[in-house]
Amino acid sequence: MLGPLSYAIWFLILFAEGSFVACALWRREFLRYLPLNLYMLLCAVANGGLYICSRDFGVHSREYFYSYYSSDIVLSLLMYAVVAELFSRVFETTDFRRYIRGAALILLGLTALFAFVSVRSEGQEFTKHFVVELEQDLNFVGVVLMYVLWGAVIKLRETRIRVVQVVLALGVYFSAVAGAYALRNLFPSLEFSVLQWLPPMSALWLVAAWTYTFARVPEEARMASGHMLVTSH
Amino acid sequence: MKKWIAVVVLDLMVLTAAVGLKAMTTRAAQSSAASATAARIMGGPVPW
Repeated sequence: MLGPLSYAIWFLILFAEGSFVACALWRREFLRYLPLNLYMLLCAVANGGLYICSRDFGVHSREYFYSYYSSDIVLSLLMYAVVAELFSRVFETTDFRRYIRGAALILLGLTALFAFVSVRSEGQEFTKHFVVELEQDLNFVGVVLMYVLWGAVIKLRETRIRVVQVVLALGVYFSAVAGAYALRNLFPSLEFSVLQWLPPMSALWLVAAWTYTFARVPEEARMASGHMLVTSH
Repeated sequence: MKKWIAVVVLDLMVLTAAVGLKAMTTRAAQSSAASATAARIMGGPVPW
């Protein structure tokens, strides 16, 4: 059973996601960062839908289970598109730019193939197992890609503050969620303590950080490249 | 052609790293369905 704090965090995230999209529309930047805004919009829709589903059927129902995973696989694919778009922005001044879209599609195909091979023996309910596996694999691919992307940001001396902050916020989000589950694996007794709250809090962090970035940092803002030189040598 | 081969190799490296990371961190994910459901309801897009 969910407590008041759980519902409070849930509604806070829903409100923040809605605010982010509203801000993007108001500033007429929805199309400029389309995958990112689409991701936030669908997060809000999915969270709203899941709330209705949990209210009507309960969180332990099959209806909720399928709603959760069908919405999450769409969100995972959209998040993957967000990461690919960030790669395109960071590499837009290099020759590698031409290969980003192809590389992203190949990696997605390879990940789907790996997920298929992992669950191909699951005869009954294959689709369910495949969706869960693909969603997990995409998130781990996302973690690795974020570190690759951060390396590129440093190496290419990216100075656009918006891009840097969006990448950093996403890196913190992926790392916090992966760290929470790794710690839960190492220390199962902590599962229902602080680690329980880390994933939703990191989701809240992501939407808050992105909202701050797009609300307060203008598109043309640049940082002095010297700020990142410490780690680039 | 050589560049595309390099792209595929890079992709494979990323996938290998991701799968390795997953293997290290998700023994607990044996019960992923239940825990993800419980975690997601708390508000965030909890992935696994």
